[in-house]
Amino acid sequence: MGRSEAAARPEAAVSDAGPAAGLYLPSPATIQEVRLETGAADVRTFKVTLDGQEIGKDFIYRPGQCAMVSVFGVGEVMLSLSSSPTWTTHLEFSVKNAGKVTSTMHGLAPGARLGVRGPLGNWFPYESLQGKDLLFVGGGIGLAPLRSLINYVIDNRDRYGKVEIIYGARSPQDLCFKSEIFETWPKAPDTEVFVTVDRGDADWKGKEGFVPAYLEELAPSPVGKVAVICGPPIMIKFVLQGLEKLGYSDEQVITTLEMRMKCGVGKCGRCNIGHKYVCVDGPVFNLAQLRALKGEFV
Amino acid sequence: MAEKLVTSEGLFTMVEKLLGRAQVTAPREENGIAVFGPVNSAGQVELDGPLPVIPEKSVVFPQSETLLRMDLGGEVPKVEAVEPEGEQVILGVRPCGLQAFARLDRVFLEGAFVDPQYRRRRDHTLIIALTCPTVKRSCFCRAFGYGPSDGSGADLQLTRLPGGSFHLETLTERGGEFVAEMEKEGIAGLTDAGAEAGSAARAEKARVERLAERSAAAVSTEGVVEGLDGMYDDPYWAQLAERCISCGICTYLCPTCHCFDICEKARGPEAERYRCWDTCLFSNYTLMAGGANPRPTVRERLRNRLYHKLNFFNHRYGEFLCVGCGRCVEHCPTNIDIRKVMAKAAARSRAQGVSVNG
Repeated sequence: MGRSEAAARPEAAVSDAGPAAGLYLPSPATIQEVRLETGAADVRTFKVTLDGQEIGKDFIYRPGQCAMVSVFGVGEVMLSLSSSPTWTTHLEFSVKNAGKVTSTMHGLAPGARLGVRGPLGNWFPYESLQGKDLLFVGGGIGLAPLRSLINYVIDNRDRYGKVEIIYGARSPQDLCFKSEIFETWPKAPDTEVFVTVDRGDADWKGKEGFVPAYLEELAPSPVGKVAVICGPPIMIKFVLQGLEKLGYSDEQVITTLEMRMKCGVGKCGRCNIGHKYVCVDGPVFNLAQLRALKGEFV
Repeated sequence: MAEKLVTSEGLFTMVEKLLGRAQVTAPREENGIAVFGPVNSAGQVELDGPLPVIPEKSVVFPQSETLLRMDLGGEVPKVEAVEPEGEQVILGVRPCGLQAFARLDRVFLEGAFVDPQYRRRRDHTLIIALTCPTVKRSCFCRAFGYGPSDGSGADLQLTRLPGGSFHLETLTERGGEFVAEMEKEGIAGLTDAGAEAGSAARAEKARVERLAERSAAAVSTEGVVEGLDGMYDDPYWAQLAERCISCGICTYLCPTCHCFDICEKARGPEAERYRCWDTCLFSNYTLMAGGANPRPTVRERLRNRLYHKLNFFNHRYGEFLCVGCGRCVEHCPTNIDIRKVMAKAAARSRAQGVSVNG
């Protein structure tokens, strides 16, 4: 993967850059590579370049940000950028085959054209997290947005403390980013990866059980640490309870949310949680912020 | 602020002149009901009727509008943003319509993301307001700090005088330019308003303000936001939801509801991305592709709409997203009355106040 030291610290403001050619007009993009993530073939990672734009220069994003991705003639969906901003050769979107647009995407091959509007939304507080230990807890495709920050931290390893990653999926087939969870990340300095599956298969020699139970068993100390979590609602619910039991304060727990979105810029109204819009005020919130909001989430 | 007097014949001629150079929207009759809609002859304009059932909103925020046009025939898709074209005039805008435009402005024009379609339409729309000639029982504009004679936000304001003529006030530079042009055209029946016409207009405004005061007498915004702050999990929402049939008429007739869907339609190599009005009362509004729905029942959806109007918008923008036009009150098939929701919230706020203070 092409990584540039110069781009390790994106400096320019993002959301105030504004739309160059119209708020709803996507930038042309091209799929360079499609990688199958899961055995069930329901998650694919798309390596995408922006036609005539340099990532890190013309398109500057932060870990945790999203973009609206268009399949022209079909529609547009909000996807989190699963790549790290430290990679300047391409963007990555890791996409579950779920609806009309994503199922069409799954049928696309390298060379296919897309549209990208973004980056949109806020980001993980990667600056204020410097010097802290980090606990990542992910479930299934929920690892996608966390992966952006994990790789960012690994590419800026000396700025962050110890990294622990707890990741689970329904089955070994459903684990995403296998080369990273089993090879790249465990080899990174001061980084531990704990993988579990709900139910193993004949070849599975690893841990079996749910993520919240594994969290309880590992019992990572909250001292000097921030937990960054993302996964299915049921996992989030029990992970939050687990973290509270372990003594994590609401400020020490960060998550990233998903809602149905259309405009991505705070106009169309549908992604509100209380008076906040997930598209512009989120998707990243800490638990204290979420508890202060009225609304339905996770 | 220039004041003119224009006879109804003079106004008729002015509208005819306007029709030649702009899309004119005005109150008119359609299938037996008063609506705001496009007119193509001055004879269609009905300024004396009741508050039109369909509000002015679509002039700046159409029910459906194309955002992108695509040609997908070639190797590389050709995609272009579609800009609205032409000039618009909206005649007979009621003060509640003006207030609604001001709310929509906040959504579409404030902050880092300016909506280009809305901006273009707003900039190219001349707004001619009308002092409400009548006040309905469902009107409660006065609860929101303005009344049926408040022309704030308009370029010009018409007030129907008892004799049948109109008092025409210029409120902006753009309005002044329009009047100057009309004078240059030599419109018969357009003259400077004398002191008599001025005082007749003031008397007429005072008359409708008194009527509006009466119709809103039982409605107050005091304590509404605070009351709702503490009512989110109240059983009240489930009770109210039992009556709601999720028809969405409150949203579609609401002058401030701005939520929209974005959809795609493709025919052969040509495709279009468009937006259209949507309502948070529909179950698929928040339904995600994986099947999860954070607002699974009418309770959550109705609560969301009412909170957006009376609480969420206040926390975001510092004002209500309700302007008291009364359309939802009048047209809800199951008589859900936002004024009663406000009263309930205000009562809760008072109760909280008592418990806090002692």
